[in-house]
Amino acid sequence: MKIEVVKDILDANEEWAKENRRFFDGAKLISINIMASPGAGKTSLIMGTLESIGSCAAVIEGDIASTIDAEKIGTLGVPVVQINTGGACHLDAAMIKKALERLDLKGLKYLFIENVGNLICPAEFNLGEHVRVIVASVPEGDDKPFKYPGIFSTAQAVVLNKWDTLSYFDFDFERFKRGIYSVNPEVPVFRVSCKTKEGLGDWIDWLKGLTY
Amino acid sequence: MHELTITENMVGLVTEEAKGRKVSTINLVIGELSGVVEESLIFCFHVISKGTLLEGASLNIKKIEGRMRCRLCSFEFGIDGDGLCPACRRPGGKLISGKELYIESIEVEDRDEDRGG
Ligand SMILES: Nc1nc2c(ncn2[C@@H]2O[C@H](COP(=O)(O)OP(=O)(O)O)[C@@H](O)[C@H]2O)c(=O)[nH]1
Ligand SMILES: [Mg+2]
Ligand SMILES: [Zn+2]
Repeated sequence: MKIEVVKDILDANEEWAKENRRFFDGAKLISINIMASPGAGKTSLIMGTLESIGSCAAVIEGDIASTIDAEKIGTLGVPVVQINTGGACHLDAAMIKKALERLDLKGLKYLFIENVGNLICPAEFNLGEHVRVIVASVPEGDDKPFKYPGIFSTAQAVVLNKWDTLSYFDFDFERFKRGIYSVNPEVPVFRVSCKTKEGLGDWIDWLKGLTY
Repeated sequence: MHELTITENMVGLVTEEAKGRKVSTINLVIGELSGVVEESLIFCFHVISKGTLLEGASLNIKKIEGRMRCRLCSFEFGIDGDGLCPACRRPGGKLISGKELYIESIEVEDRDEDRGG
């Protein structure tokens, strides 16, 4: 006997994500899910951004293990919670819901969520975020969007970091953009260096323009 | 290895739908942009389904390719290009398929009451 099911496999996660989204909306908090490979510069971008926008933000740090990134962020004096996934290669909506209980978000405007360094798995797990940002970096090569079209297709913004290292690599920015546009034609792509702070202004202007 | 999480979710949903019947086939739909590695899903399924009503069921996977539709002229095209619409050469395509990840249907063994007897 055949039974028609037609159910999304990640339905349970979607339900949690909806709940998180209601929470963010209720708190008037813009939530930003930041995804990248390990070492692309997620933590550096969050820190560079916080230094510029001031203390109107909180951060959730996702890592397989360790509290190194949370400690770094903590030095800036913003509320931060570390989630250790204990091996899981992505954050899911239920983990975020738990982390939210440990944060005092009153009066804040932004919540940055640093996802686990990985360009495959986090793409499928909606956290309830308002926007998804993919960070890539020059040393990783201009073919990243061609290799991981799935995650690039879901981005509301792409930040290309380590622009200061351009002269050391054969990185073709036009090719990089072509790869992104082939799955996500109108997404803004920001070239930045978290080291020299070059280009961070445009990214921060875009953030400030977000409404939920 | 998010395929493990995905497989656990899938097994949970199928178990619910099967209502105690033995499952012989699971028909899945997976988009090419979903990020799921088929081999890994099948492997996880063999491990997780052992000793359950799903053990030995065949996984029938329908693959869906990524497609875009031009918002300006409605032309449909693949995701291997430069993001411009091949028909009108303007940007503004929207992804219309490729992200699927769902259970379409399952086949379970008939019980007497299912035969309407
Ligand atoms: N040259 C250069 N190095 C950078 C830049 N941004 C980050 N890094 C370095 O890259 C490494 C990884 O950065 P991190 O922010 O920890 O990456 P994450 O793993 O994505 O959080 C660190 O050693 C940073 O100092 C940049 O714009 N230019
Ligand atoms: Mg980090
Ligand atoms: Zn067109």
